[in-house]
Amino acid sequence: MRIQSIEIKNFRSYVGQNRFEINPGLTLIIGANGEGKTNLYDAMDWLFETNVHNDSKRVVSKKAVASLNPGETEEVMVAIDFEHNDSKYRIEKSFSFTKTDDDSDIRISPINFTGYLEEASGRVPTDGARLLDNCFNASIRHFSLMAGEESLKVLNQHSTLQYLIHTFSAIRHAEKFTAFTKLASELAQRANQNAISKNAKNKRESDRMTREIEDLTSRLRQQQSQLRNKQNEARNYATQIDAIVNSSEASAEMRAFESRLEKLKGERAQCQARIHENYTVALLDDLLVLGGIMPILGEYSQKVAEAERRRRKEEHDYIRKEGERKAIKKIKLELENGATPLPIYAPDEKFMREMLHDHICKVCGTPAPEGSAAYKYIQDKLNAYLKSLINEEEETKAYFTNSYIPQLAKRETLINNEKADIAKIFQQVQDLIEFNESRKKQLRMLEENIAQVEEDQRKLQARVPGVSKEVLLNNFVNLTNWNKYKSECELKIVNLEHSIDKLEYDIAQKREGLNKLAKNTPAAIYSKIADAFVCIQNAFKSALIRNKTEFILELEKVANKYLAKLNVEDFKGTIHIYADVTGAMRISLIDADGTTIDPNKALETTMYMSVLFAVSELTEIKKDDEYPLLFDAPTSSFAVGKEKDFFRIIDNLDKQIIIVTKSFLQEIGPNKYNLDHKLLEELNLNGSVYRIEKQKPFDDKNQATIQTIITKVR
Amino acid sequence: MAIEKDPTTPETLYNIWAKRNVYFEVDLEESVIRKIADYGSGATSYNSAKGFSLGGGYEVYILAFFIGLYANKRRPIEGDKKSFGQPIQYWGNLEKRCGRKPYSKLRDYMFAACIARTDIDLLALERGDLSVSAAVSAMITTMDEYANYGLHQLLDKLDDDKHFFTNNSSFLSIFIPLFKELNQSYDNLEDSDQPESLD
Repeated sequence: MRIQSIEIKNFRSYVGQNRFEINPGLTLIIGANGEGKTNLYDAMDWLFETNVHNDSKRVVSKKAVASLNPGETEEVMVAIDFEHNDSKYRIEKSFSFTKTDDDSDIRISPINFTGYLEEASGRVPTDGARLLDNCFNASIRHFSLMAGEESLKVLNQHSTLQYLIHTFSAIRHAEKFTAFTKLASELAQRANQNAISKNAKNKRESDRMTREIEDLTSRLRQQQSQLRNKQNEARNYATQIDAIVNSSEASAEMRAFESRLEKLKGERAQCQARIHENYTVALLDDLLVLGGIMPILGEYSQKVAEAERRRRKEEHDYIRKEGERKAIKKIKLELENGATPLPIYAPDEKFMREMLHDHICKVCGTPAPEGSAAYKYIQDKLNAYLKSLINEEEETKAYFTNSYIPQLAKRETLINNEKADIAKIFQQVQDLIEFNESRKKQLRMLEENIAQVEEDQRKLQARVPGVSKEVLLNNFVNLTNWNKYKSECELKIVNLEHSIDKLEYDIAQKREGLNKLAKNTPAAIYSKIADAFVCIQNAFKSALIRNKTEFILELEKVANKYLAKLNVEDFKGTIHIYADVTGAMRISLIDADGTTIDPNKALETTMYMSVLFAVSELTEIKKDDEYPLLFDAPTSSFAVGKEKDFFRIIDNLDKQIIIVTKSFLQEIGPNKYNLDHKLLEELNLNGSVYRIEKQKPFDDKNQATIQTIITKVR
Repeated sequence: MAIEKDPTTPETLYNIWAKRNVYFEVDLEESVIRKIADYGSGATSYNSAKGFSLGGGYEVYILAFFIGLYANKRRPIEGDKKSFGQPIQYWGNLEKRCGRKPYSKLRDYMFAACIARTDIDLLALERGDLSVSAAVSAMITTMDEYANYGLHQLLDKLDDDKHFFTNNSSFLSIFIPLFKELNQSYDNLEDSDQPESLD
């Protein structure tokens, strides 16, 4: 099976119709966290789940729902077009959803799972689940979709080896023949015994030996039954221990995650507390709204200063004019002939005093001795002048009836005192924004980390299905008892196998003795037939054992080939695959001296991947069939250099591999990533590359605004 | 800076202005003010659960006034008008709601802005040729026209996105470009006032 395209419609963040053209080799789908990688994986997982049920509301795109009016209908659909044995097919899983009339919910239809055979005459519909099982067997699918590095441990499951041998063994039908030859040999032996017992001469002896054989056979059956029971028990213990060991590891990891989560959430709370983003309130309460007031205060100052200046001038002019007017009026009253008098200040005080001192009017030249009329005239004029000055101050009314301008000027002075602080407000606003942005960036990073830890927790939980987070967080029972019981079982199995071997030997000896009695009697022929069937049965038994051993060796050899490819110029050890006493497949890395290696995460991942690739290659060789491999984030633990080598090697494998990953992304800002085109060009991959991103803008608190956008990069 | 009233002196222009009510277009009450502020639920029943940052309706008015002031755009009130029933002198006094701070000082600057931007013959006012009531009415008209322009700007924002003001930085996003422009022109003005370098 080779997938040609994947179509996803209204499945979670994939809103509307979305299509990926899938390369026969590598297809890379690159996206950061939350951009739609896991949704793509889940869409494929959902499609490959043939058990159709209606609990599918959870996969409906919220954005697609939000865009519907009450009563309107849309559909969720995931489909693949693929080639299988030179024919083209399509598998489509879909259901429709309708927004309820009250706009509060959606109604969904039953799931439609349809397959199509693409023929020249058109599409021929068929049952989708059956077509999928025929072209992409459920057991193979087990080794096809891998979400994260932990999921690769599926290879350690008990059923894996049985499945692989059953699928790939050249003599996988031998078990049926073994059972038949066993039955046939038993029937022949019974006929042999009957024939011998009919001979009166040997009857007593043959009856005794027959009873002994029957006793031994009965004990053999009991022990074989015991062996089967013990093998089952040991297998159960192994399964339980595996689960507990996994859970135990998971428990420790979960506790570590939880403690990290607690720390991160504490930091987030602190960070949130430092963000003062209630800008609207701060505009008023902190007077930030005055950030643009400075030019207007300038206008105010200018206007008030101008008004004040004009006020002073007007008042001054008024006072001066009013004084003059009064003096003139006074002098005018004193001239007898009614002529216009000189201004009261002419001649001025200084000259009048000089004239009185010199006893002469220096205006007309008339002598003015003391007591003369002229002297008196000058003296009166001086007094009138001096009096006019006093009168003016006393009598002139205030020119302005109001004093608002001085009030405004006083305000201006007070504003000026505060100007320095007001001028800083705009800078204060900018600083506050900058501070908050920097805290928000920190907050986003913390939230990303929290999301990552929570995602890791979910993945961890998926590794130990049925075990709740709470259970994982509590301490697990210790494994001593389970291991003890398993060891006891294994010992018992070994003893039983020895005992069975001995019983089988004893029975064979007894039969040989019995056969001797049959010599030269008609029973001899049955004896020979029984021997022949036993030989055949043993041949099948050893063939099965050899087949299993050879298969494991072959798998190991191919897996090591891939391990070498995936770890060029790096330490890798050798993959060792074996069946444990319960029959489960065990995969480990061994050193040159045969000791087991405890690999780092990246090496462990490449070990499991090598076995997966080997399984895929064996499928191709032995079943003339191929299937795609879909990995979600398989390189999380890889260093950058290792990751580059990994993709380069994967690209050159003759396998259809789809990888969804956040590799090749460079962070350029909070939650902003650029595709590393340079690195992609450097790798010069043959495969196709897609970028998936969230459509912007979106509301980070509203899932109904989230949509994944697909761009083909190469 | 508010000047206390001296019983021996006539009332100040500020105090006369502060006793006045301001007005807004009745239509804007539902379409803008109630959409942004917790207007109408009483001063003590501030309902932050509804997502309102602002309490009294006059707070929307103040922000709208500054938008119009900074943009230097006025829009006369059309149709029926309404007041908040709370004269300027009470704006920004000690808030009864948690977490808020009084901002009575803002009134001083609003007053200064009104003086700066209202065409009043201050000398005629001084002489008594212009009544103080007419002068203060002109100042209130200035405020109302600036605020009315601002309120219509807010209405446009709400028409584009009815959730616009649920974001705490929405008002700031309106003010920032205005601040930038005004501060730029102010800085240029200040620079040109500097004596030439002797170098």
